[in-house]
Amino acid sequence: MSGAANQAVEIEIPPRPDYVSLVRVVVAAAAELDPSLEPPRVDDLRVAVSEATTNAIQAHMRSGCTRPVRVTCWRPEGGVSVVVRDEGPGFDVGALPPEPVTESPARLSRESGMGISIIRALADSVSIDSCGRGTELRLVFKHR
Amino acid sequence: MSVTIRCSERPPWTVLSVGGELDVVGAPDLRQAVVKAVAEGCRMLVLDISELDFIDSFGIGAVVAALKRLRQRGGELALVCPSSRIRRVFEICDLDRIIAMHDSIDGAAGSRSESAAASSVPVT
Repeated sequence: MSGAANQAVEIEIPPRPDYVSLVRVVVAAAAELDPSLEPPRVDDLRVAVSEATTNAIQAHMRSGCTRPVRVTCWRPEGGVSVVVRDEGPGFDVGALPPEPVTESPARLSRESGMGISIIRALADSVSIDSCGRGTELRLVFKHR
Repeated sequence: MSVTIRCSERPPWTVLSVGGELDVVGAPDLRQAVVKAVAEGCRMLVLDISELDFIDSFGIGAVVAALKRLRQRGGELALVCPSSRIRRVFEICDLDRIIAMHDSIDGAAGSRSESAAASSVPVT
């Protein structure tokens, strides 16, 4: 890992859930090299990266892909960027179900599938590029 | 670090104290602990997550599952969550509106009427 702002930290992990905590630690440590990124933003980053990495690992597990999941983190001017790449089957970003309203009985049926909603709520910018060969999720967290 | 779960009694409440990380790895342990507690007759459950270091949607899902399991049996769940960092994830999911959240076990254990009001959200 380098402290230079323009150098990326790249991690390749086996597609196994027990590696998610390692990714959280590494990305948070890289982000904390920037003293102007407030601790609550690092907490937000940790949660969003956990969601994205878990989704990527599960995509590999579902499709039987044993190749690594790749996570890249760097510090552009004014924040932190993270890209999580998988080689899973991809998904239709436009077909994600909306979050049920809180008062709806359906809300308590929703025990999973909240990850993308949480990522969108936490990150300043999210882009998802998904096709049949994999998914690339880009996150940007800015200073506040 | 994974998750640690301790069970204690504070009648009429059962208290599950959860520490560590409630993520894709740790959340199944909480689900299992709740299933066991309910199978043993628990209907009033305090989830004390004061010592939790991390939660994501998998941990949130396990808490929702606990709430659902209890309400389907006429029971109730109270959450002890003094950390604003952890509480923020519940707030993002709007779950602070349907789960009674407290700063201490004392506060949760004295919350029966408040919890009953919060349980007006129906369960499918």
